[in-house]
Amino acid sequence: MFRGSAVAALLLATLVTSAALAQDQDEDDLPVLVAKPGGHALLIWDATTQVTDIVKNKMNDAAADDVLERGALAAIASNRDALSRSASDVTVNIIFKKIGAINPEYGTPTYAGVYKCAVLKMDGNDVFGKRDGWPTLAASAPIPAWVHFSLVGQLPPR
Amino acid sequence: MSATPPNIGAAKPPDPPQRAGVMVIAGVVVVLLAVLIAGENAIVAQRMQHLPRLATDFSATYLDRELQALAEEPPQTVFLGDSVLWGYGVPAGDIAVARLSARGLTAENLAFKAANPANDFFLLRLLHDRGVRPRRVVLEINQQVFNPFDQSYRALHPGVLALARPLLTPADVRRLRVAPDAGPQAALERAASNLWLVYGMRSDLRESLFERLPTPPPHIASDMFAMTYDQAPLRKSNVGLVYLRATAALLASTHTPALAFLTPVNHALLHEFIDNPQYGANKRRLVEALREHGIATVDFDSALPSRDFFDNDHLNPQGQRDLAELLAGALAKTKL
Repeated sequence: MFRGSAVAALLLATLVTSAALAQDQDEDDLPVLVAKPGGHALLIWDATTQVTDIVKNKMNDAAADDVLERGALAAIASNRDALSRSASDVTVNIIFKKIGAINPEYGTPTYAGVYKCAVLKMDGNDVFGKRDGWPTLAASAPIPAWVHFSLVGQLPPR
Repeated sequence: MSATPPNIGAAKPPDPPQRAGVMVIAGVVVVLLAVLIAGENAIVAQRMQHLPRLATDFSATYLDRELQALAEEPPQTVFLGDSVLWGYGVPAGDIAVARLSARGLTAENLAFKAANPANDFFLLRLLHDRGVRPRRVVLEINQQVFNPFDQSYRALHPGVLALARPLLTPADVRRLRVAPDAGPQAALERAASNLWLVYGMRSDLRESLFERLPTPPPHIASDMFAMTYDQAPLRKSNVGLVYLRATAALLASTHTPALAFLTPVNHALLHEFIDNPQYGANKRRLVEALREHGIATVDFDSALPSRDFFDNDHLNPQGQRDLAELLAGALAKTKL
């Protein structure tokens, strides 16, 4: 009797938790972190995928900068809802992760460090406006001069 | 007359008495090895019986034995949480759970470094599947581990994973990026670990014999924690939130009384990053996820002063003492 009720309880618990787990849609990685939503707002964009492509495709410096600058703009555009409208300016720290050996226990790569390679900064008023149509800038359109982008570190050698 | 060719290279089979001698020696070696391993197992089992807290790299063998022991003697209260509750930088005897135990609470501290809601969920599943029925569960909820940038965001501890692998659904495997089982190598590893405890619990043994507390960095600046908390609204698909909900559902469906508490955070240090409306909104979201399943949460987020911390959330001995007081008060008040 007890064994039967224990099995039933276990089955019920499994069903309930399975239902709870099944409710979510799996997410893609969110490579943008909102570190500070207001004041001098700060986003951190993990551009490891883009940096890997830059190295793999042996891009020159100008092309690499363009990839990072447009990516950082997209990071702001897709996270405007998470930023405070009173933010005086928004900075994106562009980082990449150096990958180390595979951890035998976890079966995943170990991190050899996080590197900041570039910074993009925009005025708060521009972030929440559509100046020069920046939120939907075409890939071929020039990046507005009022967007401040600077390299602060080195990309891996190509 | 023909000469007989010399028998070069061919091994001469041992004559019967010689073969018997080899067999006897082999038998003696096997028996000695078995006695040695049995002796070692007895010593290790005695020494490693219920450590005050899990080792940093605790083994599946240790966890398995601990779960068996808990099934035989269920604890009053099981604590689940991360390095804050585990007691980073503080001797095992000085941590909050040890202080509560010293007051007479029968407690099992299953908190460990780099834990997260997924580990909590599968630890609870393992407890439940082994027939361990604690009187209540205390859950530590740390907003830090809901950050997709956190290294533990999707990670199951190898010790938990080894035991929980049969419980994982394909969705768990995808969500937690679980590497496939190493096949025969893993089976061999499990067999060796079960047979020889020194091997199976080598990491637990090493830490229990030579534990050296990590030294917190002497100079702490807020910029060091810029990537620690994500101030974007918590999404429904956040991996931590998914498993927090599942944990709450499991506790409710098994009628296990539970109390959650929000990890104390060093607001004086992190003011520029976390003292904003979104941090509060995310906190409420976590509390609501638990409340949906009838689990009350006490908010210790801003409860402790800066002097209680080593860094953003790890508590020094005074902080652990203060956390013990807070927990004792909350447990008494909720009367679970």
